[in-house]
Amino acid sequence: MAYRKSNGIKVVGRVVLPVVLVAGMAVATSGAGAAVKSSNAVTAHSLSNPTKALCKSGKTYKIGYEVFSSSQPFAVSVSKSLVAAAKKVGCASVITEVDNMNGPQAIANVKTEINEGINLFVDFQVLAPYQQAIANLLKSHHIPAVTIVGALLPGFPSLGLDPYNGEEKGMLAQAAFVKSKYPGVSPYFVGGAEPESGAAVLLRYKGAVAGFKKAFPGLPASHIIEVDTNGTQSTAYSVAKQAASRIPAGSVVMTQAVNDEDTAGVWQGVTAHGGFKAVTAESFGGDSYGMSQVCANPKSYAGAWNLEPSTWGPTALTLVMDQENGKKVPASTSILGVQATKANGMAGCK
Amino acid sequence: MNSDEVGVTKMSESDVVNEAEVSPITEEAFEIEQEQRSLEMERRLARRRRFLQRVQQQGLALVLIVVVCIMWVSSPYFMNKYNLLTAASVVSILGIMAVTETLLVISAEIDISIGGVMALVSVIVGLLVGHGLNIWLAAAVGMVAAAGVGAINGIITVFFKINSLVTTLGTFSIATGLAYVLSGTTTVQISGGGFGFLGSGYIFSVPSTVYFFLAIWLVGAYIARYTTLGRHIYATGDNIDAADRSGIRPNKIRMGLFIFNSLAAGFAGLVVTSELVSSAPQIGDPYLLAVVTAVILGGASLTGGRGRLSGTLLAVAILGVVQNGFALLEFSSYLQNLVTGCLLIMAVLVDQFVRRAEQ
Repeated sequence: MAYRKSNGIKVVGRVVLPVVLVAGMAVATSGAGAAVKSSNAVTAHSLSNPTKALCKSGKTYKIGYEVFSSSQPFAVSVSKSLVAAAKKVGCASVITEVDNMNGPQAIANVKTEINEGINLFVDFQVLAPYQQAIANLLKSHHIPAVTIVGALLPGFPSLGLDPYNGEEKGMLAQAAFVKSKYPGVSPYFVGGAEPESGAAVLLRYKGAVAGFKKAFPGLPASHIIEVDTNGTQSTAYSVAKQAASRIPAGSVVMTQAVNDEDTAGVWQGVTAHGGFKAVTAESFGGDSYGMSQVCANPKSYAGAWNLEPSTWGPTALTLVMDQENGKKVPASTSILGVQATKANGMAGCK
Repeated sequence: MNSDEVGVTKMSESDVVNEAEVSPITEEAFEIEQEQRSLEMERRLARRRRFLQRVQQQGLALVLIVVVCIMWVSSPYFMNKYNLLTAASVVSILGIMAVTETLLVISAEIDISIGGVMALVSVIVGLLVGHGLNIWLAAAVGMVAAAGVGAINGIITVFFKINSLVTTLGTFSIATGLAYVLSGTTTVQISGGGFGFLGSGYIFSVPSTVYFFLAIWLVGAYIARYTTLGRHIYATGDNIDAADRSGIRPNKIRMGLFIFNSLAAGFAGLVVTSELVSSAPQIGDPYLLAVVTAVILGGASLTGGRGRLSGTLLAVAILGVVQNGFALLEFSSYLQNLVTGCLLIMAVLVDQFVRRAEQ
């Protein structure tokens, strides 16, 4: 009996839902069109390995960290990696406060941290309506800060995922998988969108469609089927299962959605409909549930597009310490992600 | 002295004797006449009720036919055996819960904690399997938890006389919260042990979920129509005090219905968990509105005492066709919510109209 416990970026999307992603992505993407071409967007890899070089001689960096959850897996991964990175550079320490999705509590936490003498701040508070108040507090105390994913922190740089390009690259990876296994086929694509979560999340779906069109140019529009997952795996399952009736029997069907759980739902739904030559998938997010799907279904899953939550903490640390050191940082930093497969070992299959 | 008194004094002795002889007969005749009138009125009312129920049922059948025709014309993929089976399998999950919810609504109660129960059962199964327990044992523990939620709903509603809407809103929140806390908001992969049959199995090319729904529907319909328990459920919903005075034990009935409703929700949670090969605290989210809509659309009255499982079956079929149509035509979930909400409001208005017409 297989059992794997997941930790998911998807859960950010679900629990924190539209507020997090719509508002948070606004910085990283600055709207639908701009996201793709944003000149400010840089990949995080160059920033994700902070060293002692960040420490100015004799200076100590007391970093306030406000996070929305102490149990949500993605947040846990970011928190752990931030603390570990601070320990690694040696001159930084992190004071963590948790608000449990309580906006007024988040503001109180920031005040407490300021009273404790922080000189830098990393924001992972995800409720947009409270961000302006936090920004005002930080500005009035001249504290440099960076915000992660969630909601925009006005006047401060942000760190988030690159939804369009990430999904597009994920789709291209899946297309390569399909072409190698079923050369010459004209596949169908069932894509899970989540329009109710706003433009930024919809960008992910659009990125996947762009990747499909790039990989299989000239296919009629009927080869692309959008299903509205409504943000739950069970809905993704049922709508995809029904929408699959539009696809001729014997086809190869590719599936992808806006996160790991929705992708699994769409893939399971189309698979449950039956009658197809193959149903493939590319997980998006790279949480442990997505990875477990990759490991459990290697014939169907091309891989998982891994947003590497463990790199977000070190990147945030670099961004905030660079500011304190007088270095200019981009207004938005995007995490593009990497392909994790069973073969390259990144999926962590046993 | 008024004229009546004068009249009495003017009556002869024989008149008095005659009146004494005639009076009881006249009163008896009057009472019999009144009783006959009352019976006749009740018969008329019953006839009208039956007529209105027939109209409601036939109206539903008509709606189903219209919706099917629209879909048939709109999508070339709709009238395909495999698509219809797919639609049936998807809608069967809400159908399972709609059966017991209908019986509960007939008894003048409602349970909106079903989504929370589904989530809780799913998460419990995931947790226990993660700790190495056999999947079927884990499922059994999940069902016990579901029954526990049902018992809490029943105890608070029946013995503390709290409105069931409020009670189950509270337990929905508790069960959902518990599911999130226990799971740490994570999705857990589960497989093996033949568990997949619950959600993804086939018997003679028909999805297993369809059999589950039909089996539960048949049992429910038989109980409602042909058993003493069924009559007691209707009597409880119609007039709980009268039911109590006539020897029916309405509290026991309502308690039982709450528990069975939670068990049905728990079972639906197991089926969805099996379909997804995963347990997650979000699995119950899409079902509450659809189940309540199916029950009310099917003709069960929120004020209790009325409703038929044949109506629920038709309503489930209508919702199934609508859902399938939306998926085939790539409509957004917003529009689906809009249509489901409209159907719910329409059903409540029809119920109100029927109640007034009966009076």
